[in-house]
Amino acid sequence: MPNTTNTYKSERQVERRAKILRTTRRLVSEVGYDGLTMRGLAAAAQVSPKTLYNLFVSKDELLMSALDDLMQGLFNSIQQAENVEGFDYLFLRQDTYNEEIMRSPGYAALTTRALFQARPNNRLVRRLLAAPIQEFLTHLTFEKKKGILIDGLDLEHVSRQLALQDWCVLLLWNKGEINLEDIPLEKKRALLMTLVGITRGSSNRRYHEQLMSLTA
Amino acid sequence: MIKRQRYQSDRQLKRQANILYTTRKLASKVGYDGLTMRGLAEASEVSPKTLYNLFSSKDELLAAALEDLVGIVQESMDAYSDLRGIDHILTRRQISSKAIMRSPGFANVIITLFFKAKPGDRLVSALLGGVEQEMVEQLQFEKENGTIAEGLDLTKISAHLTAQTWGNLLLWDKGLISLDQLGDEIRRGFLVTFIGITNGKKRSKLQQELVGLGNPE
Repeated sequence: MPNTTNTYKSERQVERRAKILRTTRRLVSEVGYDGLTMRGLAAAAQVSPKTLYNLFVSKDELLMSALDDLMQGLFNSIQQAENVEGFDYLFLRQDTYNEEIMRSPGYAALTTRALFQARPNNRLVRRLLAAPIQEFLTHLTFEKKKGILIDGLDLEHVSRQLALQDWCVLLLWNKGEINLEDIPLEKKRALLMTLVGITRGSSNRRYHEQLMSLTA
Repeated sequence: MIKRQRYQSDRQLKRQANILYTTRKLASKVGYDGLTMRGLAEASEVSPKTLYNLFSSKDELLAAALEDLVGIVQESMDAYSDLRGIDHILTRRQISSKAIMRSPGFANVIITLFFKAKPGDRLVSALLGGVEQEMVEQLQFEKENGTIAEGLDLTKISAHLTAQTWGNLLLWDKGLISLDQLGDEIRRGFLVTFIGITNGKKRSKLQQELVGLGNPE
């Protein structure tokens, strides 16, 4: 993921930018996409509209940067855990994202709706679906090399299934089929179901036990 | 498959079937926004008044057209009445996938409508509710045969498979997989899930099938 912070920026500028992006996520969760204006944002983030337009050419640009900023933050926090690779990485990633969803459910709901209504292959789709698919592929390949996967798997297919699962759970939430508090459990269940299906040997038994303990 | 309501004549039944078929065809051609009740009335050769008497809105009509299609898929399963358990689920899924791949335009309209739908809308319950119960029953059959591990929550597994199907439709809708890939993609996902919950011969058979679906590596 590209670093969105410029090299020649003062600390104060970096901080201001971070504040604007945080404010954007909070405000859009409250007022929705249509209710969001550059003027309203400038006021909420305590900068002049001119400054805001200098930094971000449009509302869409700003929203995309706000999402990138959040994703980058989550990515960095996952990377801080050393030597976490393969399936352990997938669990850690899920926990990290769950915490964020619980912290700001309004923003999560908005992002989910935006993704489902997005045009094919637009930036949102690339960021929220295509990029995770590549991310998962790396970790699946890692596990494959350890020899714990069953034969006959198309790893790209498995990566796609893993990436879409999390969004399916959010879709069910979005349609009122499950509650916010159920999201972590349902995501974990989906992940374990796939891992039980693609692993063999002792890993398989371990994930099987974990899946059973969820159901009980 | 239209449920006959009381006092509905054959002629009325036929007219309704024709309207629903025309709705699917026209929706494929013109998309959701291009679809109007007036245009639909004209295409199915009834008066707008008649159409509104039968269906209160465009969304209502689209939901009915979908339920009708689901009924047709259900009817074609009659030919496989001897299939039980996982084989039944996989075959039914394949027929549904084929129906989607045959009329991608209509599927696209339904997906768009579904993603926009609010909790409790008719479309939401039609698409998330009905199918699962049947799946649970078929899985129950496998369990009684001893092919599925004890202690698994079959309802959760069915819900997982339904969600997985929607996820794959999302991937297609967003341009990440092609229409040609859609059927196999969903089938692979089902196979992986079933491999995880079965044991013995059934498991080996399902795994063989997964290998047989082709591995581009």
